[in-house]
Amino acid sequence: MVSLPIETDTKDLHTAVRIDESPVLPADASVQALHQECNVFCQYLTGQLPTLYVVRKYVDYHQMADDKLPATRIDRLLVASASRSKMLTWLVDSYTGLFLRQGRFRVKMVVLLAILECVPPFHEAADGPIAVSRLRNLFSLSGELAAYGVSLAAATLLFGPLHAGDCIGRLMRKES
Amino acid sequence: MNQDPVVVVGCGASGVHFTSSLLDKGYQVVLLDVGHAGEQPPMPESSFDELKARLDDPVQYFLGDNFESMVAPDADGEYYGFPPSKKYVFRRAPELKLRSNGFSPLLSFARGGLAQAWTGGCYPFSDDDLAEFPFGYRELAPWYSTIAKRIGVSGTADDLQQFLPVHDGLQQPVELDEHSRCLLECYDQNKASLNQRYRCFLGRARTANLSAPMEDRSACNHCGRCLWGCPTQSFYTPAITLRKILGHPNLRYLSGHYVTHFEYDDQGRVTQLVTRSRQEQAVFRVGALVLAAGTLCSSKIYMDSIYQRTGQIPRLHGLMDNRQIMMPFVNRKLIGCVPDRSHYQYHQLAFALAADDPRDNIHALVTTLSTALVHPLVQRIPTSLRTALRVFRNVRAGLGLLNVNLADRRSERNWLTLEPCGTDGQTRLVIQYVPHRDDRKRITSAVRRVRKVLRKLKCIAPKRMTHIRPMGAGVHYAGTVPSIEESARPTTDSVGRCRDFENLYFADATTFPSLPAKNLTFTLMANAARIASLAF
Repeated sequence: MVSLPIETDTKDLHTAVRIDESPVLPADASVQALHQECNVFCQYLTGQLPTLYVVRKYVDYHQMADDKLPATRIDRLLVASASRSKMLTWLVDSYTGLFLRQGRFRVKMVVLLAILECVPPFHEAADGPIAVSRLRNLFSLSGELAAYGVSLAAATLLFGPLHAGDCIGRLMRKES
Repeated sequence: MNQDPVVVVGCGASGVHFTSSLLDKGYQVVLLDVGHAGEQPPMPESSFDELKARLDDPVQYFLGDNFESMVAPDADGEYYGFPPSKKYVFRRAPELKLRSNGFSPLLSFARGGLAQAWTGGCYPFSDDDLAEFPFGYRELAPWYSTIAKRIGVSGTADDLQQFLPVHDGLQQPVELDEHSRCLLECYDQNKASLNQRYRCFLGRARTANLSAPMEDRSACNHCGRCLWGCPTQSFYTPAITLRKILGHPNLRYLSGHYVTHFEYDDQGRVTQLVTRSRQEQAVFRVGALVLAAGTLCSSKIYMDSIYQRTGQIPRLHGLMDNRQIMMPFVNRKLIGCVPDRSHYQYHQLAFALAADDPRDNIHALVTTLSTALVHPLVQRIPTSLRTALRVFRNVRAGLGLLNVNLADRRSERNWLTLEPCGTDGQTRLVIQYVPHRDDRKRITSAVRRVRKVLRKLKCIAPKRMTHIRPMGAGVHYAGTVPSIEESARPTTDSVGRCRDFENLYFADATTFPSLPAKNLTFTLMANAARIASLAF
């Protein structure tokens, strides 16, 4: 049925079984790359691997709209970097949250978030209630914001010059 | 007496209530529309969260076949992805062609019209709101009561009653959610200052949602699925009235008809109506013609009819719509709490902000968004998406969205006209809207006032997240053939009869001479019932 060797958590078997009955995914290189992206981004956002259903929807979106996504060199570089590991996803996410808010990576993340919030059990990570005490929440939120500040600084050092170089390059090409 | 039937065009909020009232009087009625239909909501017994777990393809249900309800980062800042289950409401008829400038029109050819996707606000116009109409609240009040009893409106008399007159037929308001209860408590504690210093009044919204069973409809079961289409029919849409009148022996309902124009004789009497149905032309004899297709479509039919007969292209001035401003806010008291989803999801509370000139009063409605998709809002927070998600989850219980409505007035600068296109006499509707000179000032002043009020209510309204919707997005179009006591043409008399054609009536907002800052749908229904009763 599904032509991709997609890893799934045992707790997601229910969803995975249901997807087995759906149309198959083509196993070409671009789909493999999307699958890899989806795995890393999903783990980054929710701490869980995606189910077959989530991967299929993620691939569906790209097959429909990939040619409409921003595709500058920096866009492609950021997506390629982010899909390598959760750590790099974190850095790219921090950077694009401030500097490339409509870029390719950001669109992909929003697409994945939109998919995840519709699908159990992932929707809990998107819109589930906060179950701990308000004080603990405050600490955790402060920690998150502080970590964001650190990652933004690191990401700016790492990607800022590349981004600036790409912008300057494009400007020069335009003028010439 | 003319034996030809009364022909009604359009089965939206005005059309169905006009028809229903006319059938009650024993008239023969032909009701025509294009009639795009939607599907029944799936799994009516499931709550919002259960739906995600039980649907075979939840992404298709919530985001659409082609992800059309997903709000991408480059979108124009809307806070809602429009539910795929309601997209039939805005599906255009292929025959309609239009071009607009300064206006983003939304039209409906659905069975039930635009109100199939409304938010259920039932706000009667006060005497101040009706100052330019040829009748006052007293004349309209019995029809508000008639409609309230027909559709089921919940609400109560409270601080808003000086802005929202209280008529008969109101059910008890629906149970408050935690967010609204908290806001109302804070208002009560600060009432003196809010009323006197800010001239702000807060109270229960009037909604077309049942708090008690009515006929074959059950009371709201708080499943939280309102945004996605009420599965129990406790939330009213005009399709409910249409279903009810369909079995009437005096009604002939014909869907699939796109009305192009009417024909009239030398005495200015409408004789027949021309429609297009499946590429074929159809003609209907007319005793009286009632246009209830919404301001844009009714106006186009009117202009096309004159154009077909005389070759002259009319221009109708005075197009209006409510400017809407969306202001997300967070109730500080509820940060870190668990969101309350088992409640009615549209407006539970409404604000009125009084102005020196009552025609400039501001009306704002609170939505809590607890079952809306989160990605349109999360992506607006200027951090990484993961951080934004965590921030969002912490504030979600206190999150609200204020839909601020501003009034509009007729202006010569805003008009509709036609543009010939093609060789077979077809025309394109042309819409021109130029904002009033003080538009920017009014918006800034309204936002500032609302932010002050929210601060007083212990809420935070992030400045950068305020979204001013484009003109046309309010979908409260009105005013192109006004009902005014003047001899200027084209106008209608107080019962919607066109002064140029003795048997032509407008039963929709085309005749409104002004547009207060309120949802007009309830008044549309009441006025349509009033016209049916007084003019026939």
